[in-house]
Amino acid sequence: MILIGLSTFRELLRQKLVHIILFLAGLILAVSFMAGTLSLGEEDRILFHFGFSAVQLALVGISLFVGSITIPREIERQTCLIVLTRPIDRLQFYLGKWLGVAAVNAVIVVSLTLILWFAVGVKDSFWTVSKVGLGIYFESLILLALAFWSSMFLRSAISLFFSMGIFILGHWLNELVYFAEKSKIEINILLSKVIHAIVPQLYRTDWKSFYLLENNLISSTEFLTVTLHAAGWILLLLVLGVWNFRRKDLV
Amino acid sequence: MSTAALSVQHLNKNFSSGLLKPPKNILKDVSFVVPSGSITGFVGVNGAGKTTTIKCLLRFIFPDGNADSKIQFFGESEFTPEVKRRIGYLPERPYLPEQLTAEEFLTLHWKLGGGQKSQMSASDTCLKTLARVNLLGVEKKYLREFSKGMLQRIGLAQALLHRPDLLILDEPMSGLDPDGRRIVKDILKEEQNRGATVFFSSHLLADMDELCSHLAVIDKGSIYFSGAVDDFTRAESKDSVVVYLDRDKTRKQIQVSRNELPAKLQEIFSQQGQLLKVIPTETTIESVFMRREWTAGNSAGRPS
Repeated sequence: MILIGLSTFRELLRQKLVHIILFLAGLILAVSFMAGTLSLGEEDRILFHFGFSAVQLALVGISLFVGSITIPREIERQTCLIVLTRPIDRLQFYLGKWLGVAAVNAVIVVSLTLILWFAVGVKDSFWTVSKVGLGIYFESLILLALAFWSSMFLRSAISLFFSMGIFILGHWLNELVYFAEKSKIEINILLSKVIHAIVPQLYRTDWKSFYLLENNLISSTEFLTVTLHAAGWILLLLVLGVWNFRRKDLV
Repeated sequence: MSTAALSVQHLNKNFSSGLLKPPKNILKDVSFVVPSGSITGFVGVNGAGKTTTIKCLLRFIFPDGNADSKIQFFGESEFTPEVKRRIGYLPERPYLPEQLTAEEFLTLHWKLGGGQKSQMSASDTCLKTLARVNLLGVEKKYLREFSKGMLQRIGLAQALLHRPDLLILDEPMSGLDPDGRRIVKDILKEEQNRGATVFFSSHLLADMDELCSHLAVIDKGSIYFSGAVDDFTRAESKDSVVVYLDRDKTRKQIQVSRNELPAKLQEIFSQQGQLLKVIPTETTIESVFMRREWTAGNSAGRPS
């Protein structure tokens, strides 16, 4: 599994798609430095918000685009077949691939968070800043597991749109419940609550604004709750994905 | 050749072709044996079910679960990691990971196959294997820069890495130039001499003639013939060309079937003709294959 993960990691770092996503993220990061200097007294907030938006774009982009094509492409091009004739299980292959992409995201989030930390003059501890990055990383891992799983039974393009849809919905869940309650229609309220319960609550991982507006207060309880929520979703989606992949005819 | 390296019994596979359509029956009661130490060819026209059969053998596609269906490697029904270690596989038209170099690709497979436990180092083994497929000097080159023929040969190299007991190759000669084909054929013979069993599919029947001791012929998802090549061709080797001088000393040449030969010779002698020679017509896999009327499951025409 580790061997497959390392090989996937190496392959991804050489892929054009990843280079393009990183270039776009770098562009936003550069803009965030410029935008920071244009604002009066809000340099750090602008820099952080834009900067972490760049991190989020890179991680979500890689999770959705790469996640939805990784396994289908392996099947379509038959590259997975020679690997699966080796004494490894489909589970190891699937998790190895997932870990490889997750490792690329980890390298990106750590390096960009370090850049942002230095950019604001190392005012806070790295741990305080990195909580924001971790939130984005958790989100990317959920989306990656979702894209992997959905690509088991959907075509790559549909899997991409499905995962993108969940990403948007996951950030709008509170608004959905709010508007449903405003409508005062029972079925709307019930439906919004069901959706809130069965869709990953990605808005909870978004600490970009929280970090500065709430005066650094991402409490340990909140951090732990979100970590567990993310871990639960990742585990569930990986189990479902492996279950599907182990039963799939690799035609 | 006492035990079979691979034995397949009553393999069936249906593919769903839509909600309202009946499933497509792709493999129908496929049974054949690949004797240990043999080079066995797997022959069939396009769409006959060769690749699907090979994918079922290696559990990439799950066969339908009928009770009497059985796939055994080296006498084992379970497809365990130990069994996998003894198999080398090359898929049809291999698309290999483009972002890896040849050396990285082979090293990965060396390690995945448990190569670290061996006394040989990964780089030594990779270089030796690359030399076998005539690809020395390209180890640092990315696979995306490889030609179709080079990809085919590096694919074969990964199948050979662990000196497998059974090689399963899907169209190993496809996309190769004559030199490449010669290299692959030589390697297959070397592997047989080493004691390995080779099972390969190909459209190039002349190569089958040259290499194979055994044959499995598939048509429309059914096995048409399984056994020794001699048995396949002997049953078809029915014709002979008779050259003789007739009463007027005119040279004549006729083709007669094996059954008709004694009567024809009798007739020539009775008419005071002079027999010059009787030439059995040469029968190759290709000639038998091209002559046969292909009918799924036509066991009546099956050579004995």
